[in-house]
Amino acid sequence: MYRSHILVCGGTGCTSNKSFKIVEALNKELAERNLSEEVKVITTGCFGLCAKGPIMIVYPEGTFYHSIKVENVPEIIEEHIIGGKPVERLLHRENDGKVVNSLHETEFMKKQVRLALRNCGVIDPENIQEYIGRDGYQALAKVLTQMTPQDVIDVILASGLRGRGGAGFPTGLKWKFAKASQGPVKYVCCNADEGDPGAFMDRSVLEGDPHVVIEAMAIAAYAIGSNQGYVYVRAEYPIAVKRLQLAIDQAKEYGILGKNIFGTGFDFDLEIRLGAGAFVCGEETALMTSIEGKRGEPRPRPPFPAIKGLFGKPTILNNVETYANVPQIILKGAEWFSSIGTEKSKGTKVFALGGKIVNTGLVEVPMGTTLREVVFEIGGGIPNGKKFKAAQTGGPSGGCIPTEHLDVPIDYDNLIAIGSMMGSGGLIVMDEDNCMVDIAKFFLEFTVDESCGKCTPCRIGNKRLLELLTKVTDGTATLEDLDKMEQLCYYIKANSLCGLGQTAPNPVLSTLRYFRDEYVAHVVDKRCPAGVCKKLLKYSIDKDKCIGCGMCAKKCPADAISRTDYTAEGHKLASMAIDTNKCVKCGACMSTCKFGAVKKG
Amino acid sequence: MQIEQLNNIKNEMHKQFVNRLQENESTIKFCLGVKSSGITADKKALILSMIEYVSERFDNALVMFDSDLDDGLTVFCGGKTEYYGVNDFNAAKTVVDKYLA
Repeated sequence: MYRSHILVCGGTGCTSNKSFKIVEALNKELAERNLSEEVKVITTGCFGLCAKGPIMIVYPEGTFYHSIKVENVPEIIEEHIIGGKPVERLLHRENDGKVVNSLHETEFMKKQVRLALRNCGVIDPENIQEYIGRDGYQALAKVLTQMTPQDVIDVILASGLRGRGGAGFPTGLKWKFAKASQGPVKYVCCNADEGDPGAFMDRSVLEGDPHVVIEAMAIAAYAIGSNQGYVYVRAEYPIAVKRLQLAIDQAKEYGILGKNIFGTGFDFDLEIRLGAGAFVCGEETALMTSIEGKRGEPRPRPPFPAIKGLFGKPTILNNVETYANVPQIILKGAEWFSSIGTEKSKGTKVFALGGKIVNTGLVEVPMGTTLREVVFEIGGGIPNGKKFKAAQTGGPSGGCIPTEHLDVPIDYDNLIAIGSMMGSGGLIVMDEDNCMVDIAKFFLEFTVDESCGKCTPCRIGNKRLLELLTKVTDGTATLEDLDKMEQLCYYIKANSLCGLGQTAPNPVLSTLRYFRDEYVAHVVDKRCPAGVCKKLLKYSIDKDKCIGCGMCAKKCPADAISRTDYTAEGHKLASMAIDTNKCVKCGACMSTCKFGAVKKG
Repeated sequence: MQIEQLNNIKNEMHKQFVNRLQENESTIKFCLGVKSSGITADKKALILSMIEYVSERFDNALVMFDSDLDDGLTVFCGGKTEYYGVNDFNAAKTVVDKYLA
């Protein structure tokens, strides 16, 4: 029994900020002060507010410290743990300067509802007993002893849970099809191959609560009649892989995986398969092909995996976040889950909030929350007083949502209606300094790089599309090229083999739809309004603002800046000028000038 | 493992979680005043006994020191705050039991 618990985030974000050094310092300080028996230090998964890491919470008060450094540790122990007074200097301050004592009182957390992330930042993910202490494996015990496989499927169907990996297919329906498929061997797979740029929801669940995935997969296996599962996880997620393997080992040691689980006669085993980072392996049939030991390429559907999946056997594949909801649905009931969210999208959604946003991090909100609430209330708005321009959801498969749709309730159907998609939950915010043509090009470059090459529309079509887009950013495109691009987008969408090819043109289509004026400015005016596209950029020096200090010339790597013979009124030295033929458009002059004399446009 | 063993672990771990509740989940807070005395050995012993006692009786309760309270015990429950001038375990138990009802 401990009188106080100090929880330190051990997610990837805080670990890269050396949170493990904080844990070491805390344990050392507590030992030196003979407090190790009354105060426990626990490394947890992600608390969500990654922008403020490393994060530490001291219970029972729930005092929230952020941006902690090793040198702060003795002060926290002395003043808080021994003295009983939180160190106010290290507490969180909201944008208006208000001091907030608890993470749950922050604007960042107020509108969040944590279902999939309920144990992240609460338990030690490397200790199965902590998971059990939070009702862990109770849902598995319930289904094995009180429910038939059909009961389980009925509950999941009634809950309205839809796949959190992208397309939003009803989870219960997928399970129902797999159960109906005949055959002695069936498989349960987990897609933890989170490949969208900026997305880290699944990684955080695996790092903070790996047992929830194991429990849900065992429940799914019981429901469809499977005895073997695979988790396909990116090798680039070392902490997640380590904790998941540890969790599997512990579950086997406790008899929760293996033969005759809870003495019910049900057998289930689970293995990890590491992905090598190919984006296409996030597509379900490519993922299964990769598990089979072959090159990760998609297969035509039908037959769907529920009929003929892994090794040709009936298979279900759900992603990490989908599974993370399952045990609670079993324990609390379908009605409870379906009471959260919108009519057609039940429950919550986890988003990885990134880009031009104050509170970068992981948020979980009920379906139906508006983008405005996510960006401006939870996310804290746009830094440096800049204006919101768009939010990109769904990664390379999604689209850009403009200001006019900030108040649309976020759910699967609404996002598709406005030209984007839920995707796995990456949410990248852009401000006025982002060029939307450049953003579309960024995502298309990613898709072209990651195309597996199996089907022509994706392999060749996206390449041609990228060439047209490059003409736009280079200022050599015509208005007819914009029409060609749009037409090509629809061909690629209609004819690609898998979901990745079918959605690859979405960033181009959505930016053409909402930001066509920016495309036209590139094509007609040969101008990038955001000042991003290098070939359309031109740096110049305002001769009346320039004081002639020459700092820009010193920084210029191309020797493109020289002194003129013009001296502005009130200045002692002649102003500088840029030779646009020599200029490499690196922007060094602009960032060096303290007088705002260098202009870009 | 049998389900009974699973439940035993759950109950044992539950005691650990009583003082690690997220504040918005807790419905009752028992706060021991330490402003005048500081966190002494006696106060530490008292709070550990109280944590154990409370964890066996409540699902959603916190036991914590209160550095703004001179001495005694304050209980926050259902939007109300009650103060009790108790400083030993037996007296504190009586207060805790009162809230069980």
